[in-house]
Amino acid sequence: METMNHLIQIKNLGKTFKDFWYRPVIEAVKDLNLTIQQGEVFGLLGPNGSGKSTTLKMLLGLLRPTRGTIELFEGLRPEDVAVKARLGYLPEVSHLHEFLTPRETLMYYAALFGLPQVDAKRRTKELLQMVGLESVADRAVGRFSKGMARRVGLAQALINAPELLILDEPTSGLDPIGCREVKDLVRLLAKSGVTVLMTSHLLADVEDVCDRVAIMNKGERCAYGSTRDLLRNPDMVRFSVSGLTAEVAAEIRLQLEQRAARPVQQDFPEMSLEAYFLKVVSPDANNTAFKVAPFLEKKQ
Amino acid sequence: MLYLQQSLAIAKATVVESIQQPIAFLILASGVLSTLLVPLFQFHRFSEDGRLARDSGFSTMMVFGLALAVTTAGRAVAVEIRRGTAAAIIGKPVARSLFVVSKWLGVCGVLFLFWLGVTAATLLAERGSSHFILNEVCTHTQHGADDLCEPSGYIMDTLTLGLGIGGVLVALIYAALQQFIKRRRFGVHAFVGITVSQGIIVGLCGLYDRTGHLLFLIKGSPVFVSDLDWRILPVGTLVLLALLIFAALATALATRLQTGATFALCVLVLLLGLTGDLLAVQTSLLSVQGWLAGLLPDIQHFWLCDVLAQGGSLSWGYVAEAGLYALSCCILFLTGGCLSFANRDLG
Amino acid sequence: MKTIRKIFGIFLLALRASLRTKTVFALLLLMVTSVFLLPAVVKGDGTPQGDCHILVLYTLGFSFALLCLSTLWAACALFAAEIDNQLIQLSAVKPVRAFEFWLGRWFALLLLNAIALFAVYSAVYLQLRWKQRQPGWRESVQLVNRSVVHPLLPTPQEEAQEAYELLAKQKELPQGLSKAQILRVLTTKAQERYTIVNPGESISWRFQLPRPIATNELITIRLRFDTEYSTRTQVTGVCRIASDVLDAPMVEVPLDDFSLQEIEFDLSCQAFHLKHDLSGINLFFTHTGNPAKASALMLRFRKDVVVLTQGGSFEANLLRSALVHWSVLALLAAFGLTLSACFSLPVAVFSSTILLLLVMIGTSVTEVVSVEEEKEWLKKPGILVSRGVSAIAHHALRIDPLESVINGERIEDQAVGEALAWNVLLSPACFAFLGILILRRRELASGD
Repeated sequence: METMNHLIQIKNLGKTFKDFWYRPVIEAVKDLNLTIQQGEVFGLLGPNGSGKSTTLKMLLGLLRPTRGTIELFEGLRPEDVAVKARLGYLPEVSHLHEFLTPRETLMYYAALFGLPQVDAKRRTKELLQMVGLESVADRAVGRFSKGMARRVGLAQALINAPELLILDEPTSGLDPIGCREVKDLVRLLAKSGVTVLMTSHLLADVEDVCDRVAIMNKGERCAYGSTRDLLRNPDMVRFSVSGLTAEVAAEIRLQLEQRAARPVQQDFPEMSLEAYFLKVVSPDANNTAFKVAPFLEKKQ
Repeated sequence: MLYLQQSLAIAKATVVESIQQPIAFLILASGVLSTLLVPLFQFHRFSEDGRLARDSGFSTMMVFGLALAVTTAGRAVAVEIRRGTAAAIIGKPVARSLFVVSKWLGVCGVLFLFWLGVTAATLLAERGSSHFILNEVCTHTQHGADDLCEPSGYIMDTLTLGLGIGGVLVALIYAALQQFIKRRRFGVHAFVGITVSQGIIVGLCGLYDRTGHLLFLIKGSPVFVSDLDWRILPVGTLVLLALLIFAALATALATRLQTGATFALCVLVLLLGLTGDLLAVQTSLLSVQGWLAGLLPDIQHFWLCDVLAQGGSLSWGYVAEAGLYALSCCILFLTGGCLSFANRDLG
Repeated sequence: MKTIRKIFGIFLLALRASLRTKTVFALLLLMVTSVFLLPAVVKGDGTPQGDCHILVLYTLGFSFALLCLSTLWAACALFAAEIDNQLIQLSAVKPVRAFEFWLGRWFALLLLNAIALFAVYSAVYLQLRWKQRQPGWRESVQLVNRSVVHPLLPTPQEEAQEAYELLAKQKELPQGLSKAQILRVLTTKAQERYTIVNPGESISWRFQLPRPIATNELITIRLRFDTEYSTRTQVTGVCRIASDVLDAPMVEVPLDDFSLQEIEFDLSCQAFHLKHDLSGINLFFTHTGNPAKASALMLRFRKDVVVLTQGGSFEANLLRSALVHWSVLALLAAFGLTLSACFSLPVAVFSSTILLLLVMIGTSVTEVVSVEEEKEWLKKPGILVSRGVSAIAHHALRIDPLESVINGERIEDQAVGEALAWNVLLSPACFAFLGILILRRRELASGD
């Protein structure tokens, strides 16, 4: 633990929105303390209006904190250009230029990173293949569905092969296949050393991918820690065994009840609706691993 | 009855939404202030008392009104289509044509309030500008003293101008207080307040003469004399009719175009409308030129400031005829707008 | 290199944003209509000179005014619309500095304006050339470009200072006015001072030519006479022109024309029989009218007597005019970009338009304000605001290129250079500094 690097350190962070007369109107974030380690997938959860997006925007330098400090990448501030070169951001609503095609969009953002033309073209092609938009690469984004626009947004967040990826509701607007692909992407990126900070209302997605989570409510941090530790029910143990007949299962249950001197619950595990959907819609999905763009792979 | 109810609801929402925007009260405030300030900064007399104030007021009405019409229509239609609010309304049992017409009515409502404010300011500016006053007789106060022997010459009614400008400031302060104390929208109160303040001052200025003396203190004088040039009203009404035509055009264009393009085309129509009779000279109705001249509104029918020169006036009969012409232009543009919006994708 | 790539990326985006919106097409339609419709609709005096006047002054002037407004509004939209629509968030989190954003967009506006000006000027030029093929046009309208040389005189400011000192010495300074006010009045009077030439009297001027004039070149002398009551009267006199070489022969040109109009006559340098190029001339005018009947003639040294020399091609002068206009558009683009960094779109558009109108009105107000009006307390704020605005805008609007083009006068390279330096370098740098400062401090997102 002591040897782990803190990529993001948030100390006593507060944000109060004021009106025209500089009177406080709402305290969106109150004394938030968070630490995000390098290489982990961190989930920031909370109901609507809890301060998640405000916190993200302060991390990105889009909003200025009223109190507290934020440090990224060993002591840099969010406004520093050096920080922005190393992070990628996918906002909750993909505000893209409607008149640009996906190719032009990615080339534009590549130019903002100062990428050479050759690298920009190559990465654009790979990212479009990765998000499945190669066939519509030259259609204006204004004509896209929400999900397609989201994919463009995801692609632009990765154009610079970031060290820190900030995703605000990354699966919003995506179908179950798309959701799974995003989760696979996050896992793969995390394996290759990218730190991911994500917010989501779909708790199942967060549970699947996040190493640690923080839960915010009304601007305050309510819970914080490793996903497993937070979710574990310390009093319960579950055994999963396949291939037992009903008689053998009943016998084992009886023995457990006698041993534990308490009732034992027995049920048949179900697959999740997501898994069933994927099984029905794309039977080969489980056999085909999600392919991340090669330029992102090279970081491994 | 249902259609009327729906139409009024949409129009009312349009008015309230539009006058909340900072641009609305900015246009109105600058229009009123520029009209009131003209007599103060007048450096030429143009051989006629009050002419510059009148003409400036009408020009302000037309130009600022056009800008207000376009920005209001753009926000009320184009922005609502883009944001999806229009889809939410059309999802209710509201006909698309009713939507377009109701939006136009809302824009007209905003323009009418604007017109009231600027017309009142024009009346005040005309009264406040330098007029030659010949005082042959000294008037006596009720106390019998000879203390109202005013000199002859050009006299500017600075009290009226000061009250007019002060009215705008009071309206803005009132709106600021409403925002500070009750957290109400500044724009709405500022917009309505400026219009109301000018109207109040138009009423108040009947209580004193051009030299600033209260009439009820002057022996033998009536208590209330409205020393305003009411000839401004019919000419100003013509400008309002022209603005309503542009409101219809802007609403129709906003069903397909963004505000910038709408404004450019409205300006083009204004210019063509002002030069239309030159284009249509000796052209056949069956030619392209003839068709254009017929379809484009002839704005010259609505721009008759020169009528008031040298003491002339405009009859309300002419205004009524111009109103019919304006109505036909509005119907034409709104029909185009309804047809344009009929198949517009809102998703 | 990275900075250049970033600026180019932003420049390309701004170009695409402009060209892929319907607004630009509507504007193009408006401009095309004005360039071809205005000359057809606006009635001149029926003469070729009048038509030329309308084409150059009205059409180009109106198109330029349209471009000014559209540039201003487009610049206002570039930041403000993106901030209002939250489009800027994705760009703001990229490693791009505020000045790179500002520069990329400004360059895009410069290019678009250059293309628009080129199109407008080309359309007007082609119409001029086409009209020149009409019968009677070529003889009446000469599309020329001539350098204007004024007589060697002290500047109006020096003359005003001299007059002030003389008044002070004689204790005749007007009461109740400050030194600055008196000097301002005296300077205006010096610029507009008329000199009277009675019948039988002579007057002379010395001209230093801007470049040596070859012996085979023509120079033009232009004079304009007035009378005390601005009546049209006969001008009878003799002009004697001598080169600056001693003993060189004088050239005599009799004048028999009328007042209140420009009298021009050409002079070949061969007439001086010089062995080298001409570098300066002395001009003498003698009023030879009948003392009993003829009126005294008046003219302003600084405006009514000029020597015109060959200044290059008309096309080159038109190009210089376009450059001056382009520089003004660059300044407006910079101004609009800075305002758009401060305010929302409608407020930025509105404020910029009002400020532009104030500049235009302020410049004309300062020209007509009298000393008595300056004393009126009601008018003082307006006069102060007008003077302030005029002082700020003075360098930007120093020359009126269309007037020079229509008068066949060369727009000097120095004037073009000053316009470019002031409008394309200095002022935009100040606006950029302010805009960048504001952008860096501004919050570019709203809360939850």
